[in-house]
Amino acid sequence: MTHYVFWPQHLKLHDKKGNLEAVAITLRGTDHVVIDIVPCELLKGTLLELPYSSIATKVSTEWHFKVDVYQVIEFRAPNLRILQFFSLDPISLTLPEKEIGANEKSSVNDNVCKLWDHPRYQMHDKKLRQTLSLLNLYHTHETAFREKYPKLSSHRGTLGSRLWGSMKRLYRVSRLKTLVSYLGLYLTAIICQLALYTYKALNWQYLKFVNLSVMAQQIDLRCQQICYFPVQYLRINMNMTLRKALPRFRTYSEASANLRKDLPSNYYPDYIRFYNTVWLFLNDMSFGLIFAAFLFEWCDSFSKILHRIITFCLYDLMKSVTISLANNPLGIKLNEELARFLSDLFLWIIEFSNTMLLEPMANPETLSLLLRTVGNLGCVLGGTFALSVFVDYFSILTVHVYIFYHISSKIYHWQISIMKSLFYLFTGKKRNVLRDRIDINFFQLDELLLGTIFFIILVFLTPTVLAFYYSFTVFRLVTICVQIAVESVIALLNHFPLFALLLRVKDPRRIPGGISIQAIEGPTVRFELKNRPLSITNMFKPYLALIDQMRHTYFSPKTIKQILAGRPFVMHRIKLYKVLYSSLPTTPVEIKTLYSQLSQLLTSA
Amino acid sequence: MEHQNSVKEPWKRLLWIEQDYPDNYTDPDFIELITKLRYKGKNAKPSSSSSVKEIRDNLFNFYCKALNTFFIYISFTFIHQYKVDPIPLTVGMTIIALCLTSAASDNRRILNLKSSLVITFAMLTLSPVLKSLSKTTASDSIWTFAFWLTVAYLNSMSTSIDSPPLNVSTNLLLAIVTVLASRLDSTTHVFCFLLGCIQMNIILPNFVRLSNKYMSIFTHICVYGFVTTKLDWTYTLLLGAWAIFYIFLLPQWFVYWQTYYRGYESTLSRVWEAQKPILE
Repeated sequence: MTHYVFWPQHLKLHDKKGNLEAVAITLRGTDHVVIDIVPCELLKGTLLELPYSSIATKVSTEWHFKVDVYQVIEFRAPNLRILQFFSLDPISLTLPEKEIGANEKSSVNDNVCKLWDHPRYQMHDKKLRQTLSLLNLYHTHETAFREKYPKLSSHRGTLGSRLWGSMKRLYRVSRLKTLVSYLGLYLTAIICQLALYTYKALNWQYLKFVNLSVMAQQIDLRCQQICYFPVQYLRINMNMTLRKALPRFRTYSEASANLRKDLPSNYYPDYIRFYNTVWLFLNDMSFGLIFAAFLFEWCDSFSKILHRIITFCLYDLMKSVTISLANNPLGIKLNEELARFLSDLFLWIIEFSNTMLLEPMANPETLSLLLRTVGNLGCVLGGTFALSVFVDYFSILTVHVYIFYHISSKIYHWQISIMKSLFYLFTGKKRNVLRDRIDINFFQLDELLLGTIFFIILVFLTPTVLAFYYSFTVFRLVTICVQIAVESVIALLNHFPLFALLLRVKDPRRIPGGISIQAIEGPTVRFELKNRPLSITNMFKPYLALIDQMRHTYFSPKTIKQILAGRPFVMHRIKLYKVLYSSLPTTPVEIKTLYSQLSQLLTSA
Repeated sequence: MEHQNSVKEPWKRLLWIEQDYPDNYTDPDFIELITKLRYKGKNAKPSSSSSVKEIRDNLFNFYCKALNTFFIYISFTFIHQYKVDPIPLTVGMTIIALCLTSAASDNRRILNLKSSLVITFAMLTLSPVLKSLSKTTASDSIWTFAFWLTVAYLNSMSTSIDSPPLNVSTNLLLAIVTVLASRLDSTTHVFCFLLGCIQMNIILPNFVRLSNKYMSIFTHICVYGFVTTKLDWTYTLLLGAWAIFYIFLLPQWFVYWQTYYRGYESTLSRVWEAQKPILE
């Protein structure tokens, strides 16, 4: 059996002169990891206890290993303080319960599941996993080794670090620390409680504002994020303290047990998520400032252009289309009476909405006022808020399009469903509700007669209803497309994995997506353990899911089917964008459940 | 098999019931039929004279029904083209229908008072709607529509004398009448036309056998007279030739074909047709 010896790169294989001995740590179920290189003379008097052993000796220039078959794998010791670590699986940027496809019911046979449980089909990387966790705690183990055998090491801390350490210690003891901690704690509790109340008001069970307005959704998102901050802070810091306490272990079994418990990949994503949110916050603010400056600069000309566009698209165009629908559009002869009735109805609504909504809300003065307000809002709260105000404004302005679509789709849907059942009657059949199938039925003459006359009437009226329905569906789709475009920008600003991407650029070792073992060129066969950064696709997983869902909702055969059947095809906004809330819990965590823990963490230490 | 029960359940041709027969059980009737057909070979023809008569009766019945639908077009032409007042005709038809209905026994009566009232008032209410229904549609489309509906109606009719009309065929007839009625000028005309046609084509055939001597002579006189006077005698000749071919030549030809060309397999499969199991 080959013994793998993991050799940190800072302990050079060929560097030092003289007779040296390599001390390795080997815990239960791990490979050998070289902890330190010690001169032979120093080691002579001391007896190494069990986790530590001498793995190789260097006489003149050659290293002689004490095991027969061996393979050296070099690695760069990860610095846990700056959150570098190895991980066999890609770390998850989403919460475990929000993992895409986690809650999907698997269609796998029970027997197959049973087979999967068999040891033969289990993963065989247990030893590697254990070794990687040992490698992740390398510096901790190094410190532990030095504490245990102080005379073996020659390492000393630098002056700067010692000075910094003493300053920190001084701060910890002083009154200032207590004051700041309490102030922070109370402020956090108050803000979180306020955010929670806002969240509850927006998600009132009888009237969900979140579903109605993008602005409300934006406020809701911020509240959820604020409510989640203490939890994240707690998780990150609890683990920090846990890690600091680690080097105290003394026995072999204690060290082995600790290996299993403390995996950086358990708490580390919280760190990324936390800072990602903070970064996006700041990013949003800066976008808001840019946006506002832009708006203030171009306010007047913008409002004029907007006024013209809105008046043309939402009043003139709608009116001309509705009038033309009543007068044989494209040469198709519709039923005159019905077409005139519907067109009069819609024209009346258009005029009403024009006087009540478009004229007061879309004249240049109001628009310029709105643009200024939006700019100010963008300065204070961020670009996403400004954009969401735009979306809300747009949906208020296009409310008549929604009403038209709703009316015509309702009429169309009724007509289609009535025609379906009347067609069954026409062919002498009837739907059997009990067995959910179509049965042959013998109808009475009066039933047949009434049914047939209604059927013929509906058949002749269908083209008219169809023309109205499809024209207004097209209008509705256009407005939805505009909304989706702006909402996508908002979603991008809200949930972009900015921090993860920057981390990938800055230090790929801090965002592990697996490992690779590469051969190094040289006289002897040597390997190096390397970190593979998380793939970009993996980071954008929620986005891909969102795009997929959007395509499924708005541009798929299912949508066409829904439109043909006259059923509503629009999804609730909150439901659609829920995919992106992957780094937030489903319901915000209440501050009072955390209060004691938080106060303990902040005020003690 | 042991004779525990002297009376055994007869074998049924149903797969979904458990029967006290082996899986490869063959019914004696089947064997009897197949041996008869096999040994007689081409002599296994049905007795020609009786079957020709039977087929001819059915075809004649169908022919009379088809001629009866001509009345729809005849009355429509009179109302639409020649502006004849339809009220006297409808009143007359209604009186005849009422007389027939009151004399008929209960089980033949397809209309009770309630449903006839419903029909009448529904038609009264809906005739203005029907009148304006196809105002913007071109007349040609309506004629084409009515023609294809008539073809579908003729296809859906049953040829046998005794069977009641199918729902589909009644509906198709109503559709023809409704579509044509939408071309008429006034609401009264629409209502009268609808009522008259329904009485003529749906209620009347229930009391009077259309293929009886007097009724068929009456129908022939009406239809042929109409075609001759309003169209041309060439059309009458064409229609007559068609009718003669249909009633006298077609049955003979059919029996001949069935005897000499169809073979016994198809005769066998008509009685013992292959059942396709529905598997999920």
